[in-house]
Amino acid sequence: MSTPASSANAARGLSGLFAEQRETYLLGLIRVAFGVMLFLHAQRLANQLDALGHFGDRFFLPFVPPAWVPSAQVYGAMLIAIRALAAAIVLGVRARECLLLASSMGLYLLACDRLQYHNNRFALLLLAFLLAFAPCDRSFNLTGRARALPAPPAKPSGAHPSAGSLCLRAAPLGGSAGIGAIWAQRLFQLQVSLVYASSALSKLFDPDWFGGQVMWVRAGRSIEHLAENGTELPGWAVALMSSKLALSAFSKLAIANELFLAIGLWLPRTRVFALWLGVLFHLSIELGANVELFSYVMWVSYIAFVTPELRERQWLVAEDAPLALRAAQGLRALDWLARWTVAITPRERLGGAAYLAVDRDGTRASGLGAVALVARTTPALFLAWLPLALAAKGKDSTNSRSGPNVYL
Amino acid sequence: MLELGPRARVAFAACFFAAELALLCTASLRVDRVFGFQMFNASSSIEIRLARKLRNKRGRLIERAMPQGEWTATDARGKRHEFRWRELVRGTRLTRIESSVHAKDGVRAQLYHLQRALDHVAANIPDDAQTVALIAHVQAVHNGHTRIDTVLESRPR
Repeated sequence: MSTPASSANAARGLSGLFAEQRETYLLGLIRVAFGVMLFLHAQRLANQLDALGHFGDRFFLPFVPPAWVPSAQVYGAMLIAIRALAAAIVLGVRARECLLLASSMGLYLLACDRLQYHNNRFALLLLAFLLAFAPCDRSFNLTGRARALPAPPAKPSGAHPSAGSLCLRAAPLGGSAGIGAIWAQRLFQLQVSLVYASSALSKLFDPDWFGGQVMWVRAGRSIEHLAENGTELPGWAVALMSSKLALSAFSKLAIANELFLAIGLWLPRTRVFALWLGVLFHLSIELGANVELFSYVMWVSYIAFVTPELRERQWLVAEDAPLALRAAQGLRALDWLARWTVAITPRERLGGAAYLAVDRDGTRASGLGAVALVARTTPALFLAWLPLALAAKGKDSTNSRSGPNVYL
Repeated sequence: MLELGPRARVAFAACFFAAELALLCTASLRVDRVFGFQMFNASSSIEIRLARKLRNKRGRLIERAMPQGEWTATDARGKRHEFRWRELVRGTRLTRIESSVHAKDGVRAQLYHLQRALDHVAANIPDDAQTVALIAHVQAVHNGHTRIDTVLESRPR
């Protein structure tokens, strides 16, 4: 039984969730990617329209009353409209209104023919719909409300200690213009978890899935398909893919993986592992099955789980280390999520090292540990993070913890 | 419109997820489990062979095979027409007949779609005055372990 005090706490927690204000820069990046994916989705439907004619003129199964299904002309116009709206979403021209319209039209069309239903399309449209309610229009746009990404601080001035300590402070976060209510981002995250949870639970309660039968049949077909196309798998691979025991274990692992993704993305301690597993998971799906844009939808959605604040990590480079300076340029190019501030500094202030990474909590890393930290924060290198981090741990790289103002 | 106040945010979230949870929880009640996020839910196969029911000269109902889903029939004026199943259901998985193919979303889902397709085609071939009904002989295997042999027939014309 709940007490008045616990009810009051729950109410405060709920109101806090819906009032949370955070940096919104990354929401703009998600918006641009969703604009591109909505365009590609509508383009696929338009290609089908050109090749096969209007779905309403052949066999189709509507959820809505047949009279509500758009005619060929209206359907064609809707697909043009969705592409135009998607372009506006990418450019940031009334992006949120366009997201709402484009996703609503897409969802409506999904209800017009269940034969065209695919889970990946439903996920794309639902997430785009939720994104419309998030302040995703404050960055990456061409309108007057455009906000520049906060610039990294300039090269620290000489060896003055106070100047050095300034260098270690996180870069400004773009001022109040970049701060917004992110309750809809939380709903977006919840939607991502629901996709995984629903998929995992349906498999968990299906004896054929849980027991490995579904995977076993699928693996058998894959072996046949590869053989038909002239690809002979090594004997051990065929033996593994034909083993009911192995596929039973693999099925349980797959279910556990999806359940872990549903929950692990929310917990700070497990989030980065969940993201890494998720990237790998969708890469394997992308390579093994035709799932349209699903992998990309989920990969982009992972950005919503990234800490919203920007440039909280420092990458310090010795000014006389040309290779490290070049690597720093590479880091700037790959730092799509604006995680890093790059600063050039005299080598003696790095203890003789060519480069040094400082995490947001003040942890310092050099060598492989620093490279692993970069991989952890850059999408293009993210898959390399876990192997690098494990290698760095084994290699005893010089990681240490200190307050951000103490170092240097 | 998209900047909701504190109460509207809670109401929006409650409505959105209540609707979605309703869809997720009832997905298993829909044969093709649409709106359920039940990915890769089956590894079943299905093979369809089509036939049509028509009357012979004595007026008796007979069944005639339709190889590759193609047939010719005369209209009410006696003019011959050619029909192709794959064109009448184009854009769907049901175009693939006479070979064993993956049954997306399971055998039940494909049988449901096939029954609706037979009804749809039977109702949309006005130039065929001979066919009384369309028939599908189906051999399916559910998740590699249960064989299902069945015959579906369209509504009579």
